[in-house]
Amino acid sequence: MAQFNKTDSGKRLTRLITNGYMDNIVKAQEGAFVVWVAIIVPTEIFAGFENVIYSVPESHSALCAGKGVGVPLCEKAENLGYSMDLCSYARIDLGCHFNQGADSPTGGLPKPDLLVSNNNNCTLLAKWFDVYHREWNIPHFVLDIPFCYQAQKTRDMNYIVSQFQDLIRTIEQLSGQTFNPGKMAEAWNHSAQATLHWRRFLKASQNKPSGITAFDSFVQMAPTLTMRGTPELAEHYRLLADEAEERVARCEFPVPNEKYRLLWDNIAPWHQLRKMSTRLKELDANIISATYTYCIGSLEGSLDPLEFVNLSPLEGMARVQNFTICPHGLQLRGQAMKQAIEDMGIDGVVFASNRSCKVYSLMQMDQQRYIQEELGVPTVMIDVDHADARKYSEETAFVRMEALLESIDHARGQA
Amino acid sequence: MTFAGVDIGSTSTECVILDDAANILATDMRPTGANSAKAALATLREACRKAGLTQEPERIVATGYGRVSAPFAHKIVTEITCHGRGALHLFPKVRTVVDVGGQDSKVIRIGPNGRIMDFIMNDKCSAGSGRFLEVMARALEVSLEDLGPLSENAVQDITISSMCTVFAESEVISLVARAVPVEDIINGIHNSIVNRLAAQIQRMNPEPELVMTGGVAKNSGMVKKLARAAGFPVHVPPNPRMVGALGAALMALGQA
Repeated sequence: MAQFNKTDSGKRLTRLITNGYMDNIVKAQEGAFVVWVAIIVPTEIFAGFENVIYSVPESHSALCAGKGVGVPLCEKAENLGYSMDLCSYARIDLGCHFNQGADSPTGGLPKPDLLVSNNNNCTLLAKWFDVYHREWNIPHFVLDIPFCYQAQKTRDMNYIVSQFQDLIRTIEQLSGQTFNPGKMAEAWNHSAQATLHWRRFLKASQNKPSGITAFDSFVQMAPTLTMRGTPELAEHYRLLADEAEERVARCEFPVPNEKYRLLWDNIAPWHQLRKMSTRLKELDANIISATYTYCIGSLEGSLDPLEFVNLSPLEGMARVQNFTICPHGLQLRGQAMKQAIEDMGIDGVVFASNRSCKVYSLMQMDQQRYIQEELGVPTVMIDVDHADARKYSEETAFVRMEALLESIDHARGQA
Repeated sequence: MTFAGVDIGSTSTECVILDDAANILATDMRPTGANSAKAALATLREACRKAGLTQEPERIVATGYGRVSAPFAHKIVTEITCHGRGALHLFPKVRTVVDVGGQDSKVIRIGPNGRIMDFIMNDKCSAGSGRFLEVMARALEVSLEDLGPLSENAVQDITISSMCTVFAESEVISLVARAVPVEDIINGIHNSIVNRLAAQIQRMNPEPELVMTGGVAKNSGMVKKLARAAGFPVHVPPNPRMVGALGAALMALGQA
């Protein structure tokens, strides 16, 4: 059976993530001010304070799903009365934290002093944090970010910056700590560095055969969410990108006989990473890239690296609120996907319809038609929840993905 | 030289043996049951015996949901490609194939050269498939074979609104309790499946004339309704369940 070996970066990632979760627990016990955030909240702001730490429930839920405890935690939330139709990240989180961190590989997250969400990426998240706001009586700061049908207007950028300034004042008042803009700017520079190395890592997929799989990039995204603004993240991504480039130079490829280069559209199927990648490898297929892995740091219908030379850190962070995919209209999504298909020589697209993430999945049928009819690239749609393994049928998904590979063969005239 | 195609479906397993001129030498079909590997081997052996073969076929292609449980196969191919190939072989002019199997329904568009141009499958669940009809037949205490003829005696139109097999079964049971004639209920069940299929067909921009394959094509009431809903004639092969295995055997022949 085909096997993927854990790379040095993979081992380093495990250490970073484990230490990150443990450090947060210790710091919280020692009196740090704890913020829980939605994934795109600019956490570089927190670096401007002496003793503010943050946790990312979405990322923690993905970790739980990847470690195989997604379903029992979803069931715990359902036992409390939460509907199965709610996002599985939310159910895992509620199931975990209303049961004192039960089943979580990290024992859960340290209890927050402040909740910060936004409303352009995931509207459900604001409601999910509202549950903790009500149950635990914790303040909830909601960033109101305009949905994105075109490049961000200056008016919108200023509106977002003013909310960031409100957020800074709120943390000062609640924590009693003084904000230092210089330290935030430093963190922003680390983030910019990390993004450039991340891009270099993702670029390894342009090689034929690809130097990486999307499954590698899915797991390596985690510290982007939990360690943003740190020099450790920039260094980790530098080594990660170097390692990917070296592997390509040595002609070491994850799918050496790569016949099919696929693009994945939606959140990673956390409970299936190894199984799905291994089975695809046996078919000489590689999901080399995903719209999901570009979701932080790229803007409005483009996958190019960020250029923020003329923007202040807060303005740059406001621009990043328009990051690719979920907060985007159909046209911008189509534009980004077209670029990915062309740059990476994609043979077929797997649209993963995901009931947990309505905002990601809602436009997929139109997007699929555009890719298939306008760009002539074969596509397939499968059903897979990102964290609730009960909403996935492996054979049903694979018969469709294998049929996609046959469609690619037919288009090449090989069958 | 001989070639075999084995279609290991969710409900039944079939085998077709071809000679090198694509003549059918023998076929076999049996329920898949709980052990798909065993059913696959048994159907292959029986088909070989019927064909009077003294040695294994030159090449074997497996397809269907149990395609991975056929270690004797030289290649595995999905049922989408196999149904397309099989249907094209039987009806060379037809470009659109509707296959309704045990747990899937699919519409396949074939190019003039026999290539699969595009396909669409039921995406969310198995409603509208053969299994759906099996459950309804059981709820009505009617044999699967009688569904078609009975539905043609329906008097009034009944709507089965639920797409979920389990909920639709409850709906059918409540109609039985209200003494609605069985013929009308079956007609309603057929309508609900055909409406779903017709929507799938429309999305594929079909060319006139369809081939229907899979076990559900044996249901005459369904076929007539589908022709009406699609607005095209619907061709049904003499043994629609065998089309996937035939396509697999043709793939085996083509790659020898």
